[in-house]
Amino acid sequence: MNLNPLRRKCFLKQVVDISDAKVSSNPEDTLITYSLGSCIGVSAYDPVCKVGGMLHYQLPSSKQDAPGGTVRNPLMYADTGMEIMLKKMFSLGAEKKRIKVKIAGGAQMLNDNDFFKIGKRNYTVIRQLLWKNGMFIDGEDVGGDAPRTLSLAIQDGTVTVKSRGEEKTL
Amino acid sequence: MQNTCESLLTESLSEALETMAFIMVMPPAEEPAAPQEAVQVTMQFTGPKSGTVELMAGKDFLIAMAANVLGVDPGEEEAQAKGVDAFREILNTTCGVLLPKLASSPADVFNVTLPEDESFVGPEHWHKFVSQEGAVVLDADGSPLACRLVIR
Amino acid sequence: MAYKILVVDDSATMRALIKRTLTMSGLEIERLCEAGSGKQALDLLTKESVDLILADINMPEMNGIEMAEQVLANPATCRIPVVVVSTEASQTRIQELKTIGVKGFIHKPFTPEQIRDAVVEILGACHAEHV
Repeated sequence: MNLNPLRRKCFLKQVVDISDAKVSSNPEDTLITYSLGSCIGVSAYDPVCKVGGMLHYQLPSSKQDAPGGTVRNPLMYADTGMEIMLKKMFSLGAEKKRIKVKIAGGAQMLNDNDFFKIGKRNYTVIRQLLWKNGMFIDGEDVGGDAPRTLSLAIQDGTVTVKSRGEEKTL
Repeated sequence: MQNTCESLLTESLSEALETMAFIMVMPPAEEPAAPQEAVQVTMQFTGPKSGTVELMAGKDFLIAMAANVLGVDPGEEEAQAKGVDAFREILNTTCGVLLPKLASSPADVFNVTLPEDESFVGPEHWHKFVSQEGAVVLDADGSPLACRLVIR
Repeated sequence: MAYKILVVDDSATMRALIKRTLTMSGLEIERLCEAGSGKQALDLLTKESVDLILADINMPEMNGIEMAEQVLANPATCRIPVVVVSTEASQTRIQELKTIGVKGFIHKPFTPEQIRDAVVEILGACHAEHV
């Protein structure tokens, strides 16, 4: 048992960086990701075994980056990132049919030259991936032009989105 | 008026494809190659405004689209078999999004026909279709897709 | 409780999409039946009892409005909730559907989540009514 309060506090907030994913079964953890613009933050949680994961991806598909080759950072993309995150969750006991997926981001940032509609593409591709894998989106806060912060409390699966000073539960 | 019709149709087709088939459309960077085997689907509507909506695309695109709608791989028999049916349904859905935009009131009633399809072999039908007035060519995730709205 | 659901649409793709959504939904499904027109649906209902009908409007042989009218006017089937899944957007038509007793309306294009949520809500409410 870790009785050092300072050390314990360090464990509370697990920051998921851009092009990163984290998985936890520690009820004291909160997974959090900042600066979601056109990127998408995916929160996945199995309420039975209380295993949660969070992915912050930047682009829709690894196939565009490395057609047939090696993907440099698979967590940068929706397809490879989701595969890695879900496999880690399964290894901790999560089951696909129980996982609740909630997403945030996919904005069209005003300072971007958004000819390719990256935010919208990021949203469309996660919908497609989940549909093909037999999973639903159980909550979302997407689109618009504001940056977002997404967090997931492992203890009870509460997912919160903060944007422009306002906070809401998905 | 023609530009308005074109943009209303493109918006409606985009919404139908994005929501049901996870496919995004955009203006093509350059003129796309004509599909060798193309399918045209057509639907007519009558009401406060009357006319026709037509779509044309290659068979490979139809199969990829059906696979997306069904959540299967394009190589699966189900996707291969349902390409044309999925395209008819995308046209039907496009009309469902488009017609309220043509209406003058939310109470307006339109009657629509069932979508009809016709298959063509060879690029000449594609060229003929896209050279008509009001035809719009789009890039649908790398595949050519053409659409046309005619209001009588 | 395991449910029997009838999906009525002339598009085989739409029937497959809706059936896949229902299978994924977590609802206990005893049987998923399908029909390609209003007439086929009425024929099927003379042989099968179902707990819910999801029906398109624009179909050959008999459209979904006529089918819903007949289902909801028949004492043998009038308790089956009918949900229309259609491109129809006219408020006049939607009001007509409400008047004949249609329980819900899902507008195409729809997401799988919209189908799941509507079905869970309607079956949940109907189940509660009969408990």
